[in-house]
Amino acid sequence: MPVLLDVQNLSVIFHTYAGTVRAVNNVSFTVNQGKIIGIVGESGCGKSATAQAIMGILPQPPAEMISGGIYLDAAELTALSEKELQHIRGKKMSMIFQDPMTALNPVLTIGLQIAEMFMHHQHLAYKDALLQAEKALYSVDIPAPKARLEQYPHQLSGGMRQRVMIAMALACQPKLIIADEPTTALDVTIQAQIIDLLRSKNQKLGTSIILISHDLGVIASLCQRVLVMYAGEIIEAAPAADLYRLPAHPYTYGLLQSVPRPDRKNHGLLSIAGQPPNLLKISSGCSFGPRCSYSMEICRQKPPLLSVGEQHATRCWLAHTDSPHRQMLLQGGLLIK
Amino acid sequence: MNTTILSVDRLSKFFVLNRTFLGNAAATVKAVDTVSFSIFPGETLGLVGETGCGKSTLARTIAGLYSPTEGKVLFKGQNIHCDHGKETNMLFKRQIQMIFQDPYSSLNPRMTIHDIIEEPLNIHKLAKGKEKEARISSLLLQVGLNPEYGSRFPHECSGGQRQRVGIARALAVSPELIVCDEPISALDVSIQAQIINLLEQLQTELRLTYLFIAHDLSMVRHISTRVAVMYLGSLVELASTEELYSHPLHPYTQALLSAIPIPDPAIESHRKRILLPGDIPSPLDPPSGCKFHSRCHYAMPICQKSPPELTATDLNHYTACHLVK
Repeated sequence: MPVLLDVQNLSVIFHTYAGTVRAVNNVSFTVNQGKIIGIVGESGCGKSATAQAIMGILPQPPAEMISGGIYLDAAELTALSEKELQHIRGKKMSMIFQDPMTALNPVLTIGLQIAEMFMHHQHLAYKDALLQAEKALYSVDIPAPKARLEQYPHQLSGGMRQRVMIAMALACQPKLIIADEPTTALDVTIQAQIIDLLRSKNQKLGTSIILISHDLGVIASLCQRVLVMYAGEIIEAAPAADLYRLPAHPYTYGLLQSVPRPDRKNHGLLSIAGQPPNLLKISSGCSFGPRCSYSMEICRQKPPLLSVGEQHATRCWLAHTDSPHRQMLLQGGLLIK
Repeated sequence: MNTTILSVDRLSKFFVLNRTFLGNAAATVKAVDTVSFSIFPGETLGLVGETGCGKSTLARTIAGLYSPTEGKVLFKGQNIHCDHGKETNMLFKRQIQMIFQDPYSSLNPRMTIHDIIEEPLNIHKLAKGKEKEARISSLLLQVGLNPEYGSRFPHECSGGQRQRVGIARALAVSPELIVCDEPISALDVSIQAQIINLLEQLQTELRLTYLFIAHDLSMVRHISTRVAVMYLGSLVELASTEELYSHPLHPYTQALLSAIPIPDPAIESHRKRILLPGDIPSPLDPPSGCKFHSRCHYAMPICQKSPPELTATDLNHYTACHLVK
């Protein structure tokens, strides 16, 4: 599979009155063509900042990208001017936001907002663009697409608005879609519809998707590969099947244990002690160390990303070849403690 | 089972949206429409449903924050919405407490944590002087906060800590029934588990009864003894947790359960979903007959005409569906 997106050593900081927030620290990953990759983590772990950096829509200032290269189809995006980026956004990659109500313009009709895509990128006349917009709405299963063109966002339900967002994102058949918590604002039955739609678009059009979510269930149902983020770092990266079966980082394990399963009886939830880290004061050691029940002396030093299997890496000293616990980790032994 | 602690009898709560100039109702939202159920002492009754199904309105009516349009709420046999004299009215308010969804807007930003927990003690005149201070400290300890936190303001606390304060405030007046209205949905995953574990621990220590409202069906399964499912203001199914999750009878419950993604790719890859067509209809203009018929895969002619009653199909398993009889 050829690599579509390559992110290398991405670091983003935010300058705030309280100090410098290190939102993203040395994040590197790749997305292959036609694949769905998930980024999971809790609020403030840097998943949205990563997405915004890729799209080139970081609010600068306060944000600043202090290092990193982003290559889409081998073209370096960080070197491009805003004008050049505008030709790529929407055409080669596009984004679906969490809250479709704030992402859509409330004073413009749905039709015009989608038609804009065709007018800007394909230089169509307004009338032709509207026809294309109708087709786009039809392709995301919106009933009576022609009537919808005339409507405003507030006239649609949350699920319909998210379909409009997806129609807009797919309008110019981009190679990559970044979906930032696309179903968080929706009810479960509507979430199931949207997941189904994203999956079928990925299969039919071969669009790669980066799915950002805090919901391990949503990630499991769509993604082939998963990155787990904590305090601005990727702390584990693995094929989805391995991540859920053999989590190799205590945080991933804790996260999996703290959500009850809907399909079986649960006996006691294991919760992760303490609070998410304060990104103003990042420790020099492992960022999860203060909350980790396996914490060791060496955890005061920053762990490197260590391989624990094929395509499976974890940022944890337990996985180091000198660690007495490596075997336990490889066999999913975290589950026993 | 023994006697109920709370029973809800054909309770309805309507909101009038617009009035014509003669004062007649032009549009009415039937937020809760003839709902009946009971809660037994010491259990956790889970109440699930999607946005706008009326679960929060039901919770607020039970907690006495809204007065019902029709029907009654009986707490240990007494109607909480009738006037029983000041003392008894205050007693109801003490015995039924509420934990709110949003720990950011449900705490007064101008009050310290200490004052927030002190307020109910003052209103109900439960403690004075040193005794009161000791009570506040022990409440903070009980919810896992250091008593030193008393001097802080809500904005100095994290979301999880604020929710703990909300729990301490509810516990201050030693209630018997706590209505938890989506207590964890504003929190991060790892913090959710902490709060759920705290609620479970408090339930055993203080013999509390919970009405636990959520849209997260996995968490409801974990914490509840029995589960009730609501759709557009009506109860569609009520059963013990294991029964409901293993043998859902109502088509809506079946679809709802199949829609939850399971955090396990091995299962997800070959799982069949029941996808419901369309959106939830507007509660302003709900479908006739069975309110679910417009999205139901099994709808029959009768479903459009008469609304099905909640009937027992099995011991302790109630369903409102024409198919199940």
